[in-house]
This record gives sequence, C-alpha cells and structure tokens, in this order.
Amino acid sequence: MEIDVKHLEALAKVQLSADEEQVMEKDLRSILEHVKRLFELDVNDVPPTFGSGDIFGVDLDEDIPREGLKRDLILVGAPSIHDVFFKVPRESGASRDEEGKDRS
Amino acid sequence: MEIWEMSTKEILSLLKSREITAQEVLDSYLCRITEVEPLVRAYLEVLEPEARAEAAKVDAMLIRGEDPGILSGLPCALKDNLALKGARCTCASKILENWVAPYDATCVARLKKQGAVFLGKTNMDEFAMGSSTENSAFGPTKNPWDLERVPGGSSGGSAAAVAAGMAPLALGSDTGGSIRQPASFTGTYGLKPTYGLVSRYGLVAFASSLDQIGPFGQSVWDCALLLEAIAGYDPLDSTSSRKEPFPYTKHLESSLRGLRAGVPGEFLGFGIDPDVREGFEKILEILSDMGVIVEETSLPTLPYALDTYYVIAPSEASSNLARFDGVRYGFRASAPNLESMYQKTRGEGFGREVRRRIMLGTFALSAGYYDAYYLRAARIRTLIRRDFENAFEKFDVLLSPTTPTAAFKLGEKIEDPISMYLADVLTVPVNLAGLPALSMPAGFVITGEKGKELPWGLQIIGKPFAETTVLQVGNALEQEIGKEINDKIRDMRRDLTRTRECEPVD
Repeated sequence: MEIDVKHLEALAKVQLSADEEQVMEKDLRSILEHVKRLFELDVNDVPPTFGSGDIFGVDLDEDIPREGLKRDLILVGAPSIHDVFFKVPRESGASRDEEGKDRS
Repeated sequence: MEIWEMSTKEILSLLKSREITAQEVLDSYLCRITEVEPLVRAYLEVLEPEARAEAAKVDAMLIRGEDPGILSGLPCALKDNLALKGARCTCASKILENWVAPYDATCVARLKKQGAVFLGKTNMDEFAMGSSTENSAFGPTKNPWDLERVPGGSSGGSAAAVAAGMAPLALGSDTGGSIRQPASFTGTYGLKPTYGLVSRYGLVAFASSLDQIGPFGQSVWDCALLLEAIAGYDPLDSTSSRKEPFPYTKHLESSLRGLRAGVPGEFLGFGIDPDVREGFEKILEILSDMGVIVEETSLPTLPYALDTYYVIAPSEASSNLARFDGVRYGFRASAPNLESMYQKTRGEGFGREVRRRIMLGTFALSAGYYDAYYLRAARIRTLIRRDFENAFEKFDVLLSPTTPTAAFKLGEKIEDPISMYLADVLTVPVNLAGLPALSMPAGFVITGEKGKELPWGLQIIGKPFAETTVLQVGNALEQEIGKEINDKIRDMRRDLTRTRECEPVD
C-alpha cells in the first residue's frame, strides 16, 4: 500500500524531519497491516456508530447559544496577541498591501 | 497510624466528627508526597498554597456547623487533562506546557462544591495517548510496586498517586482503558462510567465519542463516592445524559445470589498471562461460592475491537487536536509565514505518539481511504455494540481480567506501537460500546528476576448506566478478598518509604 507521508504531513499540518518521516512510514505501515483484519468482515449492510447519538440514551442536546468565557480570559493563553486579536505571521511572503486584497 | 495510611472512609468519618481537620489531612498527604514523590513522579504539579486555602475554607465551614459537602475536605488529585481554573493544564505536552486553564471543568466544579481539596495535577501520556505514562513530555511515572515498571496509562500519575498513598482519591479519563489499565497495574480501584454519565466539559478532548472521566480510589466505596460527586446532567456537554444523580455509596451492599455473570471466551484468547488466567479462574470460583451464576459466553466480534479502536480513536484525535496550532494556546514555533508556523509548531510541540496518531487518523479520514477505514470501523463498532447488547440479555455483568499481564517494564514496549496497543485489548471494547466498567485489584503474580509481586485487576463490565450493579459486585468481592490485598498494599507502601530512606534519588 502507498503511504504518502509528505501528503499526510501537509494535510495534518505536522512537519517531520527526514528521519522522522522514515520512522512514521514504518510505524503507519505496521499499524495498517494490523488493522487489515477489519476487511475480513462484510459490513456493507451494517449502519455505522459514529458518536453519542448512536450510543444508547445519550442524544445530543439542542445547540442553544449561551454566554461563553470572557474574551480577556481567552486571549491571555495565546502566544501572541494584538489588541483583541490573535496575532499570527503573514500567510506568505507577499503582504496584503502588495496584492491589494484581503486574503482572510 | 498516619492519616494518609487510613482508608478514605475513616478519614471522612474523622473529618465529619471534627476529630481531625482538613488541614491536618492535607498536611499528612503533603508530607507523604515530599517523602515518595521523588521516587514515583506521579505529579506534574503539586498545588500546595491553593490546597491549603481550600482546606482552611472547609475547616471554617465545619467549625461554623455548615455542611462542606460529601467530600468534606478529602484531598483529590486531578489528571492534567482536566481544567482547574488558575492551574496549568498541560496534558503532559510541550504544546500546552504553560497554558493555564481559564475555567473549571464541570467535574472539578462539582468536586469543589462537595468540599474536595485539590492536591495537584497528575502525570499522563501526552493527550491521554498511551498505556504506560512514558509518553509524557515531562518524563515517566514509576509504578510504586516496582520502580522499574510502568504504572500503566494514560492516567498513570493518578493511579500511582493513589497506590503510593500520595492521594486518597483521584480523577482520570478513560478513552480505551486509561483508568482501568493503570488501576490494574497499580492495585487501585478505577471506574469508567457509562458514556454520558459524567460531563466532559473541561476535559481536553482526545476521542469525543469514547472519552469519559472517572474515579480512582482505594476501595469500591471510594469510587462510588467520587462518582456520586461528579455524575449527572450538564448543559455544557451536549452529550451529557439526563439520568438523575444517584447516591451510589448508599446502595453498595447487596447479595450477589442469583446474579448472572458472563465470561466472554474471546477475552481469554488474547494472550493472557497464565498466572493472571489462574488467578481469574480462582475469582470466578469465589464468585460462584457467593451465589453468582458464572457461565462462559461469546461475543464474536471482540477480536476486531482493538483494530476498530485504533482507526476510530486516532481519527477523532486528528480532528480534535487540530485546535493546537500555535494561534490560541501555548507553544508557538518561530516561522516566517502562517503555514510553516502551523507545521513547525505541531511538529515540534507534539510528541512522537501524538504525531503518530494524528497522522494515522488523517490517513483514515483522507479522500480514498475514508470508506475503507473510518466508515468500516464505525460499522464494526455497531456489531461490537450489538454483541454486548445480546450478552446483556442473558447476563447482569461480564467479567474478564483488565489487562493480559501485570505491569511491564519501563522501555519494554515504547519502541513498538503495536505491542503497546495490545495492552488495551481487554479494555477498548467497553469504550466502543459506551459501557461502564470497574477494575479492582483481584490478585498478584510474581514477575521478574527479583520475584516481586505485582497486582492484576478484574474488569467488571455492566449494562448502560448500571454502575450500581458493577459497584455492588465489586464491593461484595472486595469484602471477600480485600483484606489480603490491603495487607500487601500496606507492605508495598512501607517498602517505598524504606527505598526512599536508603537510596539517594536524583
């Protein structure tokens, strides 16, 4: 089976070193080899169990808006803020002004 | 006898009769922590000033004749994935190393309301991913029975703290066995409640359809007490059950005569250590002598449970852990642009096992593989649930050892993920089906060249929301076999003190 670790790194947004990529590929291969047993069962007609709604007696509540945490409390845990915003590096080398449009 | 050597019930009784104060109880545990924590490393942080303030508050209430709640000044340790307002909540991860929780988890708020005093935050496998507590970014916890062995995981710190006498009670979380497996490895009692019974609000999510918070204690009664304090509906968790709170401690005594216990044959086919198997057979005989009708049964899809779990849990984890991206919490790696900041932060901030599970989950959810892996596993999960439903038409409880073996050595499985995952083979089916299960110390095996005795646990699985039945079976069995176990725990704790006196530790 093809395991494209670089593609998975991009999807999961996790950067690995070359050595780590090798180990990751080996580990994923051995885990997927183990879970191959799941293909022994014919389950096409079986409905899936995804989460709480499928587990006895626990139905999801209505999603009712309610007051959350105060903004200051949340911002204090962030690595970088500006005023009331989370501050992050630019999206790419080119700045917003250069491209003349909002890339948010 | 020191206070920390007493049973929780004894301490609580002395607190309520005001023969001892909450501050004296706390002092005793803090002293014990100073004595053996350098050996065991169960805590990531001991919250002494905060605990002293809480204990003083409880004492003041008792003096005024007010009821401080059912815990009334009892100390409790918290796994470090539970939010305690104002305390660091690291999940044993570098990515959250300095993150301070801005609110209380619902279970924490409920414990506060019942007069608990929080001793500290306990070590764990990073983000609760692991079975040995070796995946902590801050170093492993040691098993108090043998300091060269693991305490199990992921709630290994909570289990080891209770086993070593560094906390009478503790909370953990259980996604695939993370309360029961360390309880089994450390000779403590640990309960995974039915999915939805305890609010998950304030528990850092690993796999949301599997996670449950639950108690560790030194007896079944301890687990019942802690469960009583934390169970019940919470509007802040949309999956919280509306079952009414129940006074579990008042319904522990019950005759087991006529109770039907099933032993799934498939559980015994998972490479169980012959000594554990022999001990398990003896327990079945004891239960039969107590009037329990014990019969073998079959859950044919159980052999697929571990593989099902290791598709579903990493898939949910890969989604849940997407929030740790260097923007809103904790650690951020320096990088020239946003995309590389995300990738470097997560590459450097997460440990090896967490990265492995994120990548595995990402694979199982990715285009072209979703149907083959995630959807298929979700369908097999239905079959596993149905197998349990069928078994519970005939039986009141199902029994198995909690783990195939007693505690393994530090480093023994850390390089081989499959062999580590197999430590959960008997516990994951319960999470997939959302059921309640207790692990209680049921015997000892002699392991290793030093001939040390190590505990093994019995797993008692119940019907949905039948915690009472599970606890009653555990309690009745504890009355039969608990004395020998408690004697050995006492000896182990004394040995630990002596080790500290004799050996210089770093």
